[in-house]
Parts: sequence; C-alpha cells; structure tokens
Amino acid sequence: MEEEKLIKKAQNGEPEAFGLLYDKYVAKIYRFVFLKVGQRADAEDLTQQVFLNAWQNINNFRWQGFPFSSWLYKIATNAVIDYYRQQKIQIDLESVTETLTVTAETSDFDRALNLKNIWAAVAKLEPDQQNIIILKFVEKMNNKEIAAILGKSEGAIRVSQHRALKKIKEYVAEENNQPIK
Amino acid sequence: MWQKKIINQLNKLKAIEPDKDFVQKTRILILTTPTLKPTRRIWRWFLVSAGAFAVLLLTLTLISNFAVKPKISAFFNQQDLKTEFNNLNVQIQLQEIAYRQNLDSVISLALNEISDKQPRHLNPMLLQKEQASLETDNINQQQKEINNLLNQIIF
Repeated sequence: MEEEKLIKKAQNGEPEAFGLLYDKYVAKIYRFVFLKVGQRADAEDLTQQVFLNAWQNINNFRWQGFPFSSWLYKIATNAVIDYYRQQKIQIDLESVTETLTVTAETSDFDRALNLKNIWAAVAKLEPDQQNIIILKFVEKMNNKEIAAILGKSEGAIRVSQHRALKKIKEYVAEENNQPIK
Repeated sequence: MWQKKIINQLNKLKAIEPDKDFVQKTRILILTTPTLKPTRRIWRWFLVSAGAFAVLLLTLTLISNFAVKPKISAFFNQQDLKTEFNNLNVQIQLQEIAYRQNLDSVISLALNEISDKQPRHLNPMLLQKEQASLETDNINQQQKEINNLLNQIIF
C-alpha cells in the first residue's frame, strides 16, 4: 500500500496502518539513534520515544513529497539532542563495533578494527556532520532528503559531507600515525 | 581512493539492527497508546480561529480609522471653514430678502381685504355649510346627554 494512504489511515485513527509504517522504519531509526548514542538500551528507549511521539502527533504530519521517514528522522534528531542535553554521555565505541561484529558476523579482526577507527573519527565530528555521514553513507539517502531532515540546503549538505569525509581521514591518520592512501 | 575505503567501512554499519523482541514489544506498546485527544485538537483549532478573527478585526479597525481620518481633518480645515461661513452669510441674507418680499405682499393683501367693503364672507354656500355643522354639533350634544342619562340609570 502507498505510504501516503497509510499515513491518512493512521491519521484517521487506524493503529494498524501506523503499525505498517513502524515495521518499515523501525530498524532505520534504531540504527540512526544507536550510532548517535552508542548504547543499546538508550537507543531502544529513544527509538520507542520517537515512534510514540510520531503516533501521538500523527495528525500534525503534512505530506510534502518526502518519505515519512524524513519526519521520523527529524523527531529522532531532536530526541538525540535532548538526550545529550540531559545526560552528556559519550559514544561508546566498543559497543558500536561489538554490536556490528555480533550482528554482521564479521570475523575479520582487521576490518572491525578499521571500522572502529573510522567510527572513532566519526564520533569526533560535529553533530550535524555525524548526521550527514550516517544518513548519506549508512542509510544511503540522497542530499535532497538529508537537506529536508536537517533543514539545510542541498549545497550546504554537499559541502558538509565533503568536509566530514576529509576530517575522518585526518582523525584516522592521526590515530594510526600514518596517512590513508 | 581513501574516500572509497571510508565509505565502504561506513556501509557496514547498515548491518546494525534492533533486537526482534524489542521491536515487537514496542510495536504493541505504541499501538495501544491513544493519539492526541480530538478535544485538544478542537481547542487548538478554536484558538487559531480566535487569533485570526482578532487579527482581522484589528486590521479592519485600522483601515476604517485610516479612511475616516482625512474627513475629520478636512472638517477642521480652517480654509474650508471660512469658505463655508462666507457662503452661509450670503445664503442667510438671500433668505431674509425673500422673506421680507413675501411679508410685504401678505401685508398688502390683508390691507386690501380690510378696505374691501363688500360682504364676500356672507356667501350662502358657506353659511349653509356652517349651519349644517352646527346642527351636527347640536345632535352630538343631545346624544351625549342621552348617553349620560342612560349611564346613570344603568349604574
């Protein structure tokens, strides 16, 4: 069923329609939140909060040509901002890479290490740059969608993305004392 | 080249997934929670409407004030007042002349009437009419007296 129809049904008070939207996006939102907070339990709490908030305010959603996920990511971004404002917790890098190792069943230690280094570098980026890196290279979203979620222009997204990748390269090189070729 | 390496590593993060049990429990919890109550939405709609009405009213008041203001200022314009006053004087004088001319003709007519010695007022037609009215007056007087007497008898 089309997403727009599901949203209208959900707005008319049909929980099952919202349930289908939840099924479609819960993994994406969880991943986004988890990569931002680095704690499984906190990521679960925040994901639950995001969907609960979306369901309770579903009547405020206005279709503007972007997927429903754009609205969910906006709510998630705000939830993460509130989370850091209240708790000031650092991203647990071990947790991120361990989760990945278990879930993706990666046995290659070097690859996991590389990812750990890269993620350590991502964790040092500005929150907006982190968002862009996750949405662009993990969720494979286009610049237009990212711009709509973060409330910036497509040009600004492109520039931030370029700068973020450059910074990741620099941080990884600093950490390993050798430049990446 | 280095960009590709970083992007390839980042792509691996897509493998992160939530716990299935968590997904199921959260689904049930969310779908059993009610959405915002309709009354709250109606209240919000009411507030928005009231706000819009207030803005409209304010705009109309400002527009009407702006439209009336030049008239008031024109009303108090000294030059206009002077012109109006002068015109008023001329009009009063003209009206007085007309009144005096009319008064003269009335006086002359009255004098002619007095000097006229023919008894035009003894016109037979007029006299008959007068007599008839007097008779009806008498009849009315008699009827009144009868009515009074009857009232005295009855009460």
